[in-house]
Amino acid sequence: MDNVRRRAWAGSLNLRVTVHPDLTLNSSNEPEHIISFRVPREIYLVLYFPYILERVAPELRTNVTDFYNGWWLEMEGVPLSWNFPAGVLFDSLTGLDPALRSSRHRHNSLNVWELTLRHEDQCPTNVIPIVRGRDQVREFWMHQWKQACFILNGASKQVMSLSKPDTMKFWDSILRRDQNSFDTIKEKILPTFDNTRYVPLRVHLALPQIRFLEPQAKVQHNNGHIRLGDVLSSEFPEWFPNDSSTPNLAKAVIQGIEVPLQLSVWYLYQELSSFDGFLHVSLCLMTEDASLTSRS
Amino acid sequence: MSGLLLERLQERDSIEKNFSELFSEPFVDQKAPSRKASEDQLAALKSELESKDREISDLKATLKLKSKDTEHLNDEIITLNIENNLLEERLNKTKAEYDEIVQRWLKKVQQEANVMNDTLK
Repeated sequence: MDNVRRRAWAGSLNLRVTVHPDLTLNSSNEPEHIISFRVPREIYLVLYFPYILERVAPELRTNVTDFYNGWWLEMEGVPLSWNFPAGVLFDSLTGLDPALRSSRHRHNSLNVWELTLRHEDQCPTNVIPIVRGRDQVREFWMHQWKQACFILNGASKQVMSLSKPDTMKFWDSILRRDQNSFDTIKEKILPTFDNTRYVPLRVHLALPQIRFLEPQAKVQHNNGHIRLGDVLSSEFPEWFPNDSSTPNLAKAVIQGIEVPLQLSVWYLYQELSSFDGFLHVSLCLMTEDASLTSRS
Repeated sequence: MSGLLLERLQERDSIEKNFSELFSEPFVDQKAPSRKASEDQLAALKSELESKDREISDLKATLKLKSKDTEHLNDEIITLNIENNLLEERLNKTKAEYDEIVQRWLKKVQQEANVMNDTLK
């Protein structure tokens, strides 16, 4: 069965991780240490550190004592905050413009995200240090759900009252990529349309600096659905002007696709929200190239 | 509306999945093949390398400190030299002054003696 939710859950990225030359043995014959693999868009990249490190360990200068602490990935010298889903980081940091990308796509072109593996005793400031391994990642993710639940329901009760087995099943569904059990538990947290207070929304920007915002997004106003365009134009009036005569200067990208701004926030949340309970929107500023291929 | 989203997701996947068969799709838990004996030796050598690296960085730090000390001492020597030169200059000046005063005094005493001799005559 092919539907939007299933596609959003199953999206994946080709990844090519290069080990930073400072970490490798100088005497080693190979000039570069690379590991290529494929990750789901809907997962934290940090969970793959043990996978990467176990494979590059023989080439490293030092023995790997901790698979999480002190390690980070960076793109073109910019450290990646692991605490966002992989797909969101990809969309926002590469400034992904889906229309531009598909216009350049050929049957033999390959889409790879190139990252560098780094290690220092002290993590860069935008990377949360992990001292308790994967448990800490799980707890962090549960806290994300508590936040999302609070925004949706006005209380975190639904997440807090999940039973221990349910909580573990919820987390395992992420690791095992089992959408059915994920959705079953998600159902228990999500309120109905009428009971929803706000939609957990995060807007990611890579320019002029890397940051994210959490605008308040109600589901309806005067009995009309709130559209994504309404939220964005109140938050970024300079990029999304309110009158229809002036063109928008940015595009909204969710799950690697450009979404029409007239869709309601609630509908988008239902279909395209991420595994941490938030709807992540990446803004792609339009360049001259992009405006040629623009479509609404 | 979901038709449009679906269509775009399908397009995204067809782009991102191009040549995806070249990439392995690991599970989070997937373990690497088990270690061989040679890797244990490697691990031991690496920890030695690590300790040597630390030693080198320690020594570098010590060296840096020492060279800073030397620089400081050099500065001190230069200052003292200058001070010494100045004092010597002053000493010479004072000596010359002293000699002159002695000469003048001798001259004066000579004069007084002459005057005394003259009156006695």
